[in-house]
Amino acid sequence: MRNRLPELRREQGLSQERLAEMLGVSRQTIISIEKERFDPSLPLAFQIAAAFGMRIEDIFFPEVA
Amino acid sequence: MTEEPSEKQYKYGRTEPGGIPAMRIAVLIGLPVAVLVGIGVRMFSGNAYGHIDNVLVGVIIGACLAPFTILLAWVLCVDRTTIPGAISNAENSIEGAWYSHAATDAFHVVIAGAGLGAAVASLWLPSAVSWTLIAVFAVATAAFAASYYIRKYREGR
Repeated sequence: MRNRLPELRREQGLSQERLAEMLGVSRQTIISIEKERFDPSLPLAFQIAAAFGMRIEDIFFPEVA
Repeated sequence: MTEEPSEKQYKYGRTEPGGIPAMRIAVLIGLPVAVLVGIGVRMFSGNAYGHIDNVLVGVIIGACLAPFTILLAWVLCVDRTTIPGAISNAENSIEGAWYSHAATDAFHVVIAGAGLGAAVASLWLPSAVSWTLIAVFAVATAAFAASYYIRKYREGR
């Protein structure tokens, strides 16, 4: 799954460490999501969307074939 | 941005936020359990250790078992969110996914290894080896079936 997490995080001036702290996950989780190697669970995707005040589909979108 | 901890943190955490230090409870539970198991082992083993005081032998066996029973008691009673540095949302972290994948892989290896091993062992090795591997295969399969049907019952309705 593709995502805009790195772009949104930088816009908010958040470090990966700080975002991980806010979400209660490890920094490695944020790194792997940003590199699109790990798809977050639905609860975590909702948490991420809430942290940026957006909807899930504004942050995550499917791979275009 | 770092928040000051509102209560004293213990290296091994607490039983719940604001609760008792988990290691204290673990020692209080684990130590007597270890000694009781040690005495029990001594009682059932007859004179395997010679004519030495039962309680003394039990306490010595208990002392050897204590680290494991204390560790088990700690695992059962600690609230992981109270451990310094622990993350609060561990089940949604990538490490949780790695753990699940590793556990799945290990299970498949055990099933395949025990099944094929039992077949091969039955040809060349004593039957006890084959029966042991069959037992491992049966227990792993039964645990899988039980876990699958419990989840199906809880989540599939």
